[in-house]
Amino acid sequence: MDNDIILQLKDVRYRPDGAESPILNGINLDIRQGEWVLVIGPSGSGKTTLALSMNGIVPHSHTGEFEGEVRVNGHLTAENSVAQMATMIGMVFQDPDAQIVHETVRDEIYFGLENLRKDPAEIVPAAHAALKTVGMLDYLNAEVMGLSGGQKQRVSLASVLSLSPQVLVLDEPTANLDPQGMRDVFNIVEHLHKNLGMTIIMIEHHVDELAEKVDRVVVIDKGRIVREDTPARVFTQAAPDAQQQGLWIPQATEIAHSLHIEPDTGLLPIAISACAEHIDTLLSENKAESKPHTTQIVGIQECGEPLLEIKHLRFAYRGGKDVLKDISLTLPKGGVTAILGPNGSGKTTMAKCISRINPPPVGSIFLNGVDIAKMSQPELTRRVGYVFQNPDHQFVTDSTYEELAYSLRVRKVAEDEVDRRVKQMLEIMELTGREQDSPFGLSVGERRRLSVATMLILEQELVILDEPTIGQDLARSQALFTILDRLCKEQGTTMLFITHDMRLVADWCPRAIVMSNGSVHYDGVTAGVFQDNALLTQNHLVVPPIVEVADELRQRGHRVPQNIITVPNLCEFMEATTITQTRRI
Amino acid sequence: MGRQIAFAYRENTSLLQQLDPVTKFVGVVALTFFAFGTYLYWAQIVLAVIIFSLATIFGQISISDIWRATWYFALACLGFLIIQSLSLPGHHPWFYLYGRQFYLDTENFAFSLAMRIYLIFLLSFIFVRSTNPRDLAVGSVQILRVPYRIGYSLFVALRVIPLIEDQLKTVQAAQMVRGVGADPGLRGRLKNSMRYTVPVLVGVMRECNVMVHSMESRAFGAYPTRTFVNDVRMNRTGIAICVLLVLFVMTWYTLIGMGIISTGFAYTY
Repeated sequence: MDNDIILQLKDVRYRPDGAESPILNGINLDIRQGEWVLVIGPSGSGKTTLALSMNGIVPHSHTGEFEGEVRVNGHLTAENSVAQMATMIGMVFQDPDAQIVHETVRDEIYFGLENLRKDPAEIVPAAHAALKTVGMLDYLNAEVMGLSGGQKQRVSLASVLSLSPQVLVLDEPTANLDPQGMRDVFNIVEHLHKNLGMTIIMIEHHVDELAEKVDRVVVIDKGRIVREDTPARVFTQAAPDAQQQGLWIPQATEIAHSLHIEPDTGLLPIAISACAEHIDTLLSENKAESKPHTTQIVGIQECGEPLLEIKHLRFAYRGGKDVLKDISLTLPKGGVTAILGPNGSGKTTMAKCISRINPPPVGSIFLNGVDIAKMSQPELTRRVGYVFQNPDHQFVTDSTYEELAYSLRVRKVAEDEVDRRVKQMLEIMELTGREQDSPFGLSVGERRRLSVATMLILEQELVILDEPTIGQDLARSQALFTILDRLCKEQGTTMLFITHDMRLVADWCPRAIVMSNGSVHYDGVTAGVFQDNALLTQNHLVVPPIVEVADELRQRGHRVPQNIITVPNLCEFMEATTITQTRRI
Repeated sequence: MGRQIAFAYRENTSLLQQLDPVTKFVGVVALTFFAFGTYLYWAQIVLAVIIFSLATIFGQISISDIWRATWYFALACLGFLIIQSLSLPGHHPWFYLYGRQFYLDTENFAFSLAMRIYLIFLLSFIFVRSTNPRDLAVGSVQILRVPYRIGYSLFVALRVIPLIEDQLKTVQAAQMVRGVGADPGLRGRLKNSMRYTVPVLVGVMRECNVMVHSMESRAFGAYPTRTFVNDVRMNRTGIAICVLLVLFVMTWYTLIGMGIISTGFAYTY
């Protein structure tokens, strides 16, 4: 084994008990000391299983057929327990709530070092140093329950760092975090890599923030490594069919590909500045002829009757302070509206008030002019749907067909109509052929689509979706939104979409509501959110990369419209310039 | 910023929280033994008063918190009491109601039985609410000399209780929007409850899986022993309480055995 290689996987194959095909199917991977490797791939491609095999959780804690070998610093994981590997390789999981096991930060940080039988006199300074690295030393005695999602994930990181592992594996550590929490985690990981020389292996969908930072990108699909190279090479090669492959690529690369930019190096840009520079060159060539564009954002035109009216809504959980403080807003019929804001801002609480999971005060929420507090439960569920973050929570039967039929049968819909609507929905959601499968046996993406389908089949007037794209790849996220958008247009359904994913918000939601600390801070056109720096900073939001590209172009003197927030927007703008050029020629 | 879980440890400065977990555990066992030792309704009432006082005065747990955590079980016990009262025959006539004879021995038995079940549930709640799971694990290792892997299995068990409650509430809410809550009647409610079981179990299993992986990944189980930064020891007060409780239970059962204290109208089927 090369002296420089700290982690080596040789022909690793793994098929869990009961599975028909292997999840890992001949993985060969060498990780060098001090390298930062990003692992990407479509949902269900085997990324998490790969991560779990690196410290021996697979196969020690997961039964099945395991072949090949994994060595960390020369030590075979098959010959060492997971606990024995802890000082060599640390693991941070996706869900901070599940991985933090203690009530206080202090106990959580001491835990690993106590397991290593360290003297308490050594434990305390080592634990404090780890907390300081992640900027959480002030929270030493805090209760974990009171921390934000980002802070919890930083505590998880510190609890692993306290063991001084040589390799750090992070499995989608920012999936549940708001944009600011996500950036905090990325900055800490960058510090560990740059300043402490730590070897990092990271599974992430948020490639925009990482593309410039990592040394290598590994693409995994169907349990195999299908591509492995520098970020620029991998993303350039992936760009033409990224969506079909289910890969998130940096938006800078997507823009360059969409605009047919062909740099001399043959590599598409992965950074915002590089992307802006290429577009700047294109625009400068046509500057003399380019037409002036409006720089004003046009506000949302309130058309049609209001569907949902919220008037001075206040809400507090029993014995607690107000979580929602005097919220008033109106939502017109049709369209998709995003609800944005930091973790703990009250987004989900408000959505649960609208669906009466949290009982709202009488006279505070009206649907088509009727107070929802006075509606019967069957009437409300017939008109308002709510898709939970975790699709498993909503399943009530043992087959996909029955799952869809259930909602209709509860509402006494005739059996032939049930059959017709179920078959139609199965087709729309691309679940035909899975009718008899257990909902719990479907893939993550299929479970998500089924949970959405169980709501949409009722043709409700308002459907609330709580983080429906967490852990989903690009293809599945876009496919889900294509379906939702179609239903909005065809059935006139109104959708409320709670999310932290700014690229999806820009692509699919013309309107956005920004919440913080239980209040609405913004309600209007989505592009407006991205132009208000104070709003963005106060509410821990970030802009999609395309907005940064547009900003940089403006700084370079181009009159780029403010409402350019999607790649098609930018393409249209550029096309207008190209038409001018063609005419000139 | 979410709802609060009732069956979870909540830190405060109460005397009950200052007691070591082993003493509290001995207290739970002793009071359970006491509850099991008699069918005297007044003994169960006295026991209830003691337990409520312990919770409110020494544990700083409000009555509304207790009710919120235990009302479902209290109603189940009430149902049990009613069914027993109506279905069991008796020997000592007590009163008539709506043309039906009620018997003193039956009521005494049914009340004691229902109260006993509720009190044991209440004791479990007070224990969970006032005991840091970590302290229970460390206390069992340092005071009872239990191997730490076993001690920490208690810790995991205590951590799982709020998880189940949280998952159950989420699943109930998620299924309510599907219309599951709409089935009326006792049979309908039972059917609905059955529907909660699989999603709750799946959710809890997934979370527990991550929790165990997270512990193992941080060297849990790497060595046969481990160190502790914060010790959990039994002080003199704890020892005195344990001795008193054991003596009390032993005396109680001795007096019953000698026939000095009656077990009440012990019901014979």
